[in-house]
Amino acid sequence: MNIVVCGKIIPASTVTIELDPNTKRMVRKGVTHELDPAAASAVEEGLRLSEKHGGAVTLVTMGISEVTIGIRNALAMGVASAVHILDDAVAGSDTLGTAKLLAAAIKKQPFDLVLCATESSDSYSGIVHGQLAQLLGIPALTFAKEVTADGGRISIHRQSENGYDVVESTLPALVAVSSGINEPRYPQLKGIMAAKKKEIKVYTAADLGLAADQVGEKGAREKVLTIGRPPKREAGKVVTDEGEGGKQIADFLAEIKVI
Amino acid sequence: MADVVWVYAEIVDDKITATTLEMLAKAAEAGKAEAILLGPAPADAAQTLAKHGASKIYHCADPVYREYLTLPAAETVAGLIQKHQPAVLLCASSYAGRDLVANLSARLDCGAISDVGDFQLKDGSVEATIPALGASYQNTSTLVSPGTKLLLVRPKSFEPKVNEQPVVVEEVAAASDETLRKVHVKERVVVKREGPQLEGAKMVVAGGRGLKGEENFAMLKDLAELLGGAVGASRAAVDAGWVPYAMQIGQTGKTVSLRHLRRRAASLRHENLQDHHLDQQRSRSADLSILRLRRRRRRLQSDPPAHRRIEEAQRRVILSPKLVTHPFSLLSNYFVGSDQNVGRNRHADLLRGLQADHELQLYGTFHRYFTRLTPL
Repeated sequence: MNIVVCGKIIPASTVTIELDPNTKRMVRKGVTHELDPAAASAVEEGLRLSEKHGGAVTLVTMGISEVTIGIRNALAMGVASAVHILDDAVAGSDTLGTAKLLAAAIKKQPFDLVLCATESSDSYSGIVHGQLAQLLGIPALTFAKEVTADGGRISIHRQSENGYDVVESTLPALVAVSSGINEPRYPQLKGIMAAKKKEIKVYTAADLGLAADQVGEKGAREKVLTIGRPPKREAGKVVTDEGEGGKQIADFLAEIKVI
Repeated sequence: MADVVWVYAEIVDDKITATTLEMLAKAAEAGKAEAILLGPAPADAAQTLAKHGASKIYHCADPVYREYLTLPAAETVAGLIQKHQPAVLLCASSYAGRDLVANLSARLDCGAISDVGDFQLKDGSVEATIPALGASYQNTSTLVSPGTKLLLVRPKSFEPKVNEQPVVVEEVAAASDETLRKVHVKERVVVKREGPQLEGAKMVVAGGRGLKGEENFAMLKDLAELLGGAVGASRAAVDAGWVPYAMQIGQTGKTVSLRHLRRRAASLRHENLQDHHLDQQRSRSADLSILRLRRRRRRLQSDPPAHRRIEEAQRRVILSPKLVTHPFSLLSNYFVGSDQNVGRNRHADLLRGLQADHELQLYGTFHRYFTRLTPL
């Protein structure tokens, strides 16, 4: 089973994400990056499936040169090779532009299963995987909290409003995993060393057959008009229980008209 | 049709969802509200939609929409959009809604905006307000592609209104193509919950890792019962298995309006992440490596303020067993490591307090990182 994992590499956890008032985009240049934990779950799920059913896992990602560290981390986890869409022209792509680029890159290799996170931890639009599946002409099985493959079939437990649905389809298919589906492995020293020798294919939009006006800010359908801070919220109130705590909380709830 | 706003109606537990009715109220305010109702629905569904502002309903009761995921609905809705060209299609930011909008936007080659909290419609163009980065920003966006604008609306963004309309129900043909029956919903498993459902609750009493265990959720249940509300939980509590996922609120769970989130922190994104991972730490508290760290901490007890701060750090930041056994740990006196994004900014914030008497070296590795503390 050939597995492609689409994983986003995002500003690291130590970085406070800022929006650039000029470009109205997230500040990514010069910022430390890491593999999104949500994407790490997808990588982990891919590795587990390939360990069970054979086949190689390929990571496909898009981003500026700062994301290489995240690609190496995925490779260190055990991913066989990586594809990096690296092109200044793709900056400012909206969800559909991103999906088009990823779809074109995925089509360059054989695949049975595409794994994605449900949403990235930085911008969480949560629709790229659905667009990607449609562009690839394969069904999307989303919000998976458990994935099992059996022969040419794939079955998931899909989160639902009141429990979960057992959903199945034939391969090839796309599965978007929920965060918390697994605990991503920590790269071992051997893996880190091996990752240095693994191949990272780099593509531009032109390599993928997409014109400059189809992708990036030019091709984006969604335009951000303004960015701003929402009105500040007041600090919370702490009630220390000195025998009267319950009463004070009840008074407070009554005061804000909750009860 | 420059002022027609469509709402994709969803049915959960044999009822039109609250978000559907909320979207209808906004649709009727912004223009002419119409609804799409696909799949088996309760008998009074059309009546409910009309009562809340729908003046026309595109309806098909075929079970294909319930038995197969996304594709049949996307085919039918795409056909309707091409035929009638409404200005806007509103879908709830729900499981089905997100899948549908994603598919439609690729199918129709048009953009879509996620996480919409409010929008304005003017001459066929939309301006949507989106809370971003865990509501630390509030942005506005528009869609420049021609044709119908697809918006995914956050639940609880609008108040449902009773606004009875004379209604026309138009029956549409079911999507019958065999290629659309690709993703089969084999079974629906309902995880039992007690008390009122979160979605419709007027009030939510929420708890998280502070409750320290399953048994303490009973207190919340009692309080919620007294107040006539529902019990909600943060991701930490859900991931720890104290309560089922269906009770989760926040970015990755059920959306409740901010009024209900009064006692919870502002940054949903960060809180969720932190809760999640801090919790994993607690489950590992018996780990030998932690014991080793405690021993190290005892050694540092000669310096009470630092000791207290380290204790605080230990309480709030993950001490990763994997990281303390890292080769680097041999070189240093003390490690504070974080596992998988834990702590995010909190990690750095906490350690800042130790800067006065410790040399701090942050090693970022992958989604785990750790700081080496060397007393000065």
